[in-house]
Amino acid sequence: MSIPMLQALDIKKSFGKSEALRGLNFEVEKGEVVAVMGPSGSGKSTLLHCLAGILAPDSGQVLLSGVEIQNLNEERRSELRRTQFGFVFQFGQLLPELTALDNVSIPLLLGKVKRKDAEGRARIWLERLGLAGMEDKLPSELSGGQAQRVAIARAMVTHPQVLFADEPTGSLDSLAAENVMNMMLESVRSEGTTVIIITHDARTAAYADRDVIVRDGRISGAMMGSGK
Amino acid sequence: MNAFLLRLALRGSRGSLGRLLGMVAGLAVGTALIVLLIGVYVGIQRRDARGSWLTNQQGKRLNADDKTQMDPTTVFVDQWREFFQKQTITRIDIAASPGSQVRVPGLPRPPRPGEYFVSPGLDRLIKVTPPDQLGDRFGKTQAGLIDPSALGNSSSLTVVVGQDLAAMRKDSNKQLVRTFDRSPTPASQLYKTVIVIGVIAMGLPIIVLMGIVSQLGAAARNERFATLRLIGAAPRQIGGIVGMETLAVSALGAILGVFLAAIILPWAAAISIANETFLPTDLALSPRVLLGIIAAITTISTLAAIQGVLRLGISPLGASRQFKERTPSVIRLIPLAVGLGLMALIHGNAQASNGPMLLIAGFLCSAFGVISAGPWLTFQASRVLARRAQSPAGLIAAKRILSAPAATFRAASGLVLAIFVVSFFFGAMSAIVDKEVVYKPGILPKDALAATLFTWPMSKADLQGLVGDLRRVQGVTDVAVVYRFEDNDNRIEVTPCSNTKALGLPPCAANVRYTSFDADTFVFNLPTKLVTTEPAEISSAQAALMKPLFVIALTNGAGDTIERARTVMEQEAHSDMPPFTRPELGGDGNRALRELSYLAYIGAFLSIFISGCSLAVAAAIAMVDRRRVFGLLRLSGMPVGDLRKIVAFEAAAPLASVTLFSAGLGYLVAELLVTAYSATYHVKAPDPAYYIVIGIGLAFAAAVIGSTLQMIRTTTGVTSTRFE
Repeated sequence: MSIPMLQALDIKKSFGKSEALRGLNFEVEKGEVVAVMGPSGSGKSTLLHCLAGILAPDSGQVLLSGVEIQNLNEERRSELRRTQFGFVFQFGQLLPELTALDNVSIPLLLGKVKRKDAEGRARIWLERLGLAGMEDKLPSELSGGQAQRVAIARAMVTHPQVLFADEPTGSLDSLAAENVMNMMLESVRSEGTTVIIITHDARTAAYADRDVIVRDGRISGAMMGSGK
Repeated sequence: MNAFLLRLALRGSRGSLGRLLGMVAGLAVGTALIVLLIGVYVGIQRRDARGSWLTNQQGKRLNADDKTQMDPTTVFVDQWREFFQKQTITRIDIAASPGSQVRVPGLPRPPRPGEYFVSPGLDRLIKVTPPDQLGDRFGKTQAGLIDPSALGNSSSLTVVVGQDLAAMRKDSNKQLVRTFDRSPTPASQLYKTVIVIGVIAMGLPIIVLMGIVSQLGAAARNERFATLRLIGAAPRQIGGIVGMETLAVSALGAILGVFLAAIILPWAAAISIANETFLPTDLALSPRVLLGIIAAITTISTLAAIQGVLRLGISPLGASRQFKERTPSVIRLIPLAVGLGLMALIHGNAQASNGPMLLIAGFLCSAFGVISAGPWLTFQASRVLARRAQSPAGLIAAKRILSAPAATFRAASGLVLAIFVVSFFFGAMSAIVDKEVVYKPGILPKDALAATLFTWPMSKADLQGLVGDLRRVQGVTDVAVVYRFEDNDNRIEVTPCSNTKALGLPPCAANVRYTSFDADTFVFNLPTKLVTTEPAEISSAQAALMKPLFVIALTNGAGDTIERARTVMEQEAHSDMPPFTRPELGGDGNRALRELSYLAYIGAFLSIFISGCSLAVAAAIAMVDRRRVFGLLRLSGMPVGDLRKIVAFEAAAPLASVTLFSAGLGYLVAELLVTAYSATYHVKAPDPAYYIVIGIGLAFAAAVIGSTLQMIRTTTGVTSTRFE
């Protein structure tokens, strides 16, 4: 039996008197694409934050390839996020002063890769995501879909084990959303990356191998997605 | 102003208490400094009104052989500076006819021959000093104290000495005076000009700070303002809200600043300007002036704040801080080039009729040019930095500066100006002021005390008596006399060869009795070059016609020896100039420059500090502006330390680059100034004090910026990344 890539075991998390996660169990296999759905306030984002080591659960365990991560110190968790995880958010994630190429290079520079090498690798990812020729554009000069693809390139440039996507198409029209999702899934499948997508949108969730529904801090249901 | 909008906007200020308190504190400190500077400006006038009669008589100058008769409405006056243990004593010699009606400020009557009046400060000094070192110089009887209303400061060292009418007639430096004038001295005018520049130099960083702090407030309330715009508020109304807030805060800060100034005032009064300290009451301003200052600061701060917020262009979708700044063009260098060109043009010709005017124009053009060129240079520097950056912090910071070079430079402009002016001042001073003089043959020894005899000639017997008395002073190792010989054809200064050692002149060759040299240069000029000597052939008949010019006593350098010898010289030589050592002679000019340098140090330190605060606030804006994207970067694994590095780099890069730039330019302009006067002058490395003041100022600025960086953990928390 293979070890799940990421696993949450009976995790609980409260903010004051409000219980966001109430003994939630969840797991995702290597290379699997899972959509986490649920209404506002159901605990989706808290789950993402706990799985990504951004928040430590009050109790329970979070395991990455079988290794507990919830008790790591802030420095180790940052390193984990930098080297093992990638993130794509709804909007506002690109540094406005940096070109597309610079934005994608940043995670590599953080890993002490030389600027020239970092730019070379960033160019490859921009090209893979259909952004050749856009390297010197500022975020303000890109469309919403293009900006989102730059964000995906930035997330993938370090070859993460797990990609977290929080409402990745939330700010896009349907055509752009479809384009972004196709590009993203093509990239992650070729890399064998595990993906956890947080979304309200059933059309976005349909790209996943499996859908998980969170309600009142617990998993309330699961179904196979059309992506499989 | 819509009261509802105002209430809604100010509710958002609850969380910004720290920012508002910072504004109040910054304004209070700035206002206190401006109040004190204006106080000093006014104080100089008040002090002059009391004490300028001591140094600024406007009488009719008379020659030594003048036969002008004195009546009860006039007195003979001679003013000079005495020295005592490195302190300067202002001395007025007065010869008045019996029953004189001339009113001498602070005295019940003019002193009679042999009498003297002293300031309370000098009275205290005389009482603790042996008479043969000080008191005996002035006469036999101390007739009383000078009233403090006639003194710049009661602790100043001042004496009014009564002289014999017949003796005073021989004085070539006397004036015939009817009334004692109390108009400002030229030196005071110079200081007042410096203070006006100081008020402007201090005001600029404060105004910049207010504008930037208001932008921070707007950035922190971006969403609230955007909502107000969404529901129909016009940009003007948003500006009005910020204006109302700044009006209240700046009025409070300005009022507190006035109180702060009142607390600091006694210490400020103790600072010596133009050789004297102040009475605390000199610096006190009238309520009307204080109200005017409060009104002016409040108005200017409010306008700066409104302009700062309007610059942000808050739309219903939030602040459009990504507005495109126009790329600074090379045209911005023109004022600097014109300024430097003007100064370079005058190389060696400052004495020409239009030289000084061109120099001033060149300096002002250069100073304006520094501010004008700043954004262009910032842009160029950040372009190079962006190309070469290897770290994410360097890259992000450089690109951020590249996108808004003018705004980045604005935050540091006060600092640029302060460092430019202070570097210029110290550069120029390094070329003028004596530093380490190496005393060697050809330069008057530093422990030699000299008295002039040419304005009040002595008989041969009196001269022998003086030389004998000086030799008897314990610690005097040798005494020399310099003579002037004149006949129809020439005029030379000579001294017997036996005196060369005492005078610090090169020794004579064998069988030579007299040596000639340029005695005036040797005694009076600053020791920039050695005096050369030549053998002089003086016959016995010619020797009898020689007139004594200087008497010089070589001492062991001990303070009491020098003061005893000085007292003997003053009692017996009746010179119209006090006996002096070489360091004392250069001391007054150096002292004035030192005082100016202290003021420059204080001004530079405060300007750097205030500019550091502006940069810190700019750093805070950078954090608040990008809290979401920084928060996302942090979620993505960027350590908080790296985020801090980005913001620190953005603040430090302009700080470092403009500091070097403005310091270098200040020195270049100083070099152009001194070479305009003489091609042989050149600026030298500044005093350690220069580096210390600049260093401490920058360290304070860095500390303020550093404290701001603590914000990054809270501003980039998880909540900053939520979009629901």
